[in-house]
Amino acid sequence: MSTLQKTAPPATPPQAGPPRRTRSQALRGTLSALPLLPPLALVVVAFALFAPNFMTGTNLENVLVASSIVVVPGLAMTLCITMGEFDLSIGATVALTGAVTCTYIRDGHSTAVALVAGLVVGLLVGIGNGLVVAKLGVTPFIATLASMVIVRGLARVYTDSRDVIVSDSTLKYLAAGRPLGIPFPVLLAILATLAAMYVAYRTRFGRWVAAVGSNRDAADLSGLPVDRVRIAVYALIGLAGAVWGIIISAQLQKGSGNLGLGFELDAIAVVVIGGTSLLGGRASIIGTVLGALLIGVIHNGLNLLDVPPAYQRISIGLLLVAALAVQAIRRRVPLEVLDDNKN
Amino acid sequence: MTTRTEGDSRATAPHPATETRSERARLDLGRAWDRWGITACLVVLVVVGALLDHSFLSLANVQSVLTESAYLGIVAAAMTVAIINGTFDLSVGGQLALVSVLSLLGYGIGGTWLAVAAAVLGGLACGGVNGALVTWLRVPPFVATLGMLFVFRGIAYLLTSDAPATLDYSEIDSGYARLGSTLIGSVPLPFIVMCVFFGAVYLFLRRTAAGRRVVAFGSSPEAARFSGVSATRVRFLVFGLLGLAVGIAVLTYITRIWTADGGTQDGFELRVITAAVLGGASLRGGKGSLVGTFSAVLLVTVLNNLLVAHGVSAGAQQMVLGGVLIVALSIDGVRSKYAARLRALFARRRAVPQPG
Amino acid sequence: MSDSVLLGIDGLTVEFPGVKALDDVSFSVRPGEVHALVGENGAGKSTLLKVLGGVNTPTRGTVELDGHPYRPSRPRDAQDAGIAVIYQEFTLFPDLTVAENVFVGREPHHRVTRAIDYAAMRAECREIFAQLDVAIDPDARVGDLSVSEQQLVEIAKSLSVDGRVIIMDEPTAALASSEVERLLEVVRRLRTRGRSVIYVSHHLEEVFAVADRATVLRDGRYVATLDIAQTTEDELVRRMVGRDVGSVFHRERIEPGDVVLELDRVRAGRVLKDASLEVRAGEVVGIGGVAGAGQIDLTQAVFGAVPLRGGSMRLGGTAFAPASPAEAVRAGVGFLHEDRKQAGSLPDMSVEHNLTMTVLDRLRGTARLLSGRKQRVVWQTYRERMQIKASGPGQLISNLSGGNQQKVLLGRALAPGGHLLVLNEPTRGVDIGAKSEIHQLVNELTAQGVAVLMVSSDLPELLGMSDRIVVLSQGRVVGRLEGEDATEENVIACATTGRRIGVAA
Repeated sequence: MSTLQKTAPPATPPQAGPPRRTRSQALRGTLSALPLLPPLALVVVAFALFAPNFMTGTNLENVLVASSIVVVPGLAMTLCITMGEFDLSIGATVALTGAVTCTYIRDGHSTAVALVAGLVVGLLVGIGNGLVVAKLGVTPFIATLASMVIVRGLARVYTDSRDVIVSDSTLKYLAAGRPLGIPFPVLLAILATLAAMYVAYRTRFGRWVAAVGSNRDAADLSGLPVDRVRIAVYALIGLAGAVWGIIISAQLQKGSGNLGLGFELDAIAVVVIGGTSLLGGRASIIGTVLGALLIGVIHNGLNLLDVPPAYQRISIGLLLVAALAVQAIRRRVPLEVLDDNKN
Repeated sequence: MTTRTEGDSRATAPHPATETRSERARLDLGRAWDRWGITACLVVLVVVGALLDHSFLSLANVQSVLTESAYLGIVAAAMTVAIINGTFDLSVGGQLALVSVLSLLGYGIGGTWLAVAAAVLGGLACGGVNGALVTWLRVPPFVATLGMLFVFRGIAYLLTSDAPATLDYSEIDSGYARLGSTLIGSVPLPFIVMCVFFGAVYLFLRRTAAGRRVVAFGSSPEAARFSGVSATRVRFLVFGLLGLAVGIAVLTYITRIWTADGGTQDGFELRVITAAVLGGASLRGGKGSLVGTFSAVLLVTVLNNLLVAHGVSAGAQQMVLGGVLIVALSIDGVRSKYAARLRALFARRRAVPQPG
Repeated sequence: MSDSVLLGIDGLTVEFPGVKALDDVSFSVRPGEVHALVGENGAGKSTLLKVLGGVNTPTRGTVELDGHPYRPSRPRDAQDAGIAVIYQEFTLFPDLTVAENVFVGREPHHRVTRAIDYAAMRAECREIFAQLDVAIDPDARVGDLSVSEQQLVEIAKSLSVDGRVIIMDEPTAALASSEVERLLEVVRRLRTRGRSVIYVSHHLEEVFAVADRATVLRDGRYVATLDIAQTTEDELVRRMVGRDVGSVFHRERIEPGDVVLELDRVRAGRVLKDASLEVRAGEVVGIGGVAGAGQIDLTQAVFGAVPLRGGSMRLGGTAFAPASPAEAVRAGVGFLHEDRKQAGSLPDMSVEHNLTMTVLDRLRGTARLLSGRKQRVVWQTYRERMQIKASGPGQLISNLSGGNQQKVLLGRALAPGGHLLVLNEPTRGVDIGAKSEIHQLVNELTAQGVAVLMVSSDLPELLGMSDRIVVLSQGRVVGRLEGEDATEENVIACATTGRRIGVAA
């Protein structure tokens, strides 16, 4: 009977591999947004050359304000996409919450109460989405699609399909006021970004959101409160949608059931173009902010060039598709894996 | 000797599927609901409608409902195929707008034949673009079609920047306009086209090699690949079919509406997917029911008809539609979510440890 | 080492419909012991792990942990009790850092600000890694680590929750030899620190290098628990196999014909670096080796599922480089995938539809539509030929037993009537009866001149059914065994130690 030779004794003591620099997740997320800077610069230069009045102080401030308004919902959507899901109903939430706030003001309530009402409605929509998705087990894509339809319908019913015109100074301040010399939306965006970075990278909740997106099965097995995390994220989106709706209504000085059409494309585009992967697990907060800037610049430049909004959507649509094509080609994913079944 | 362990070594292996008698009964009930649930709901709805209003079942109203359901139904049939294949197309609304415009413009240039050709070829072209994006460029279908939704609408806007494309009232007797209004033995032509299309799609899925491959790919992309199915061909086919369906649907739709621009049928894609999912198509792929989709399309159209007849506002109509979808999906979701837990419950009862 | 019992398993039985995965298994694990669990494929090891890990519930029997009944109903219960199972597929989050993974769900945080205390996490991670004498950066992204480092993260996780019993399922399957040694050192350190380790492995030389005792399972039943110091590898192998190899599988050799498949220095996939072999008509060439040695790359290259990166192939004398499985099917290659569930059966479809998938283009009737009659003929032919037990052609494939499902998939591979059949684990998860039927079928096929290339981790099957055996190790051919050389010991030797037999060095 032959005996096997024993394996040779270890040749070298255990190797640790090359020493790695300590990197925080925040740094990683920020670095992944760097590829966005060249296109941003390019677009700014192009518009500076070809669009009239692009480089004026007023216009640049407009760009900043417009971008800032998209930042808040973009950040909330970043969390959702990091979790591996997305919410199509945010545009409808914009309409409903704007309508509610304006209606309260028109009916004589104080602005503060009106604002709270709007925020609460947004929160409820978000929680509703979260419950349907987490507890009833409906796929997020369909659930938020249906929610979009319902909420928009609700908005139209609530306003009786008529615009709710208001003229309120506090509301105006939200859109055009300048606390500390900075336009309010910009201030809000800065605060929201700081808060988002904190939540995403330094709280347990933020890490759990990334965990759920990174490996859903492992998250279940590790005992993470996956349902609660999901509901919370959708609630945040609802809240962000409310903020968006209130500010837009403040700008337009009216609430309407037709507000926010197509906004979900902007919200998702901002996140995806900013570098956060649709597959989940990795949040890039700075990326979303840069993405918002890019989209804001594009919208602004095209407006100055008198391009109708429909064409502007084409460009965003194409940009989105292009950004993803580049991502996917670089990853060389085989076709069979690229299904949306997981959604 | 290899070190692969037997069977499935994933940490999330499902619980053993021990079936007890009552469970089997529950499964059969589930299957019955899958097949005939929506049809049953449709019947109930029709009865309710008739009770609420005698004129609901009048010939004119029935014809109106059938005509109205055609364009939604044709595209929903193709969408069902896509969902069975494990994908979906969010751009059909944009395609409908664009192809409608193309068809109307085509009529203005070359009469009925060009209008028909423009519709069919335009639809196929849209489908081809989607197919190329999804296969060659590997863009995930969700994003590709979401982006193209806006691109298609944008092109439609471009083409109608001066004015919406229209069909002049004087052309009411043209072959083109008749497409939408002809009756064949008191059955509207659009509805007949829809039935024929459903029949063709059914044949396609059940009785052609290509259709079988479409289903197989949705069932398990990996296993299909190892059985010789080409992912690229299958996806192109699916998106091409959707484009073709839009082209045919346009011919039953625009020939009645007579005007189109970039904003035509906003939200169409949602209604189509709603109908398909209501009809039993599972977004996980591999499963879908054309019969279910057919009934769901009629259900949605009848529901709309009733709501409009009773003066319900557009906004509320939307809410009802969304609500119906949520309810239908919740039933499905709750079933699959808790099926595993139910089975585990039964398994545990059997696992009482013996003494000693 | 005391005689006290930490984990006591008594009369454990796990039944699935049609199959008894575990049958009245009883043994115990002591505190501070490395206890190996050995047995062939199908012996029941992974089922046992799933019971201990809270994934499966036993049909009968009890488990006691430290004298108390242990009945986890979900994985979290096992974790809370201090039992950490490290499966072959890790429960890690690739996008999170090492520290975040180790502490997932239990992250230390400030009460008020709710901020995670990264400093504390890093410190404890460093401490755990120091205990294990390895150096891994706590801030590294887990997805960027090598498999062996990821494994160490899993181990660190189980130490961090103060795991008393750490169960490792085939831990060295994906490791290079230097990494294996590091892992064994870690296991020894765990023992020094009073943990018990259940070490499941096919690699007996590892078992002998690190284990105190070994329990042998065979066909779901308990065979023996042996003291490593008082036994030999051969004894262990004998207990695992327990029967004379060659008596169960009755291979009927025939005189081989012309060369059907030739591989010349083929390089493909992630592992296969250099493989040359040939298969003649009427021959069965078996491929052996530990998991990840390149067998999958080899068979998938032949089938066009992975591209050739070097070398060349010939099929029936002509150059052969299929760009996709569809091309390979057209060229007459039949393929059976090793993972029936993920890439074999089409779960929502009927048995007839599964079976006819590869020959759809030949089953057309009027108007280019598929002919129901022709499909039925194919179904009946294979049903009879392979004795497939199904209630009818329309039955869902997922309702069949594993063995019958395998037969359907085998039929699908055979249906095009090609000259080359590539089988990957043809009888994995298949009961004895169906196993011998499948082997009989292979005999018939070779008698008709079909060439068969078979990958099998079931050693008796490999030895019993192959005319010649090619053993791969780390992507290269290290053994060509024929006749008297084709023994279990030689196969294991070549596969695990890289010894060369019948191959120039």
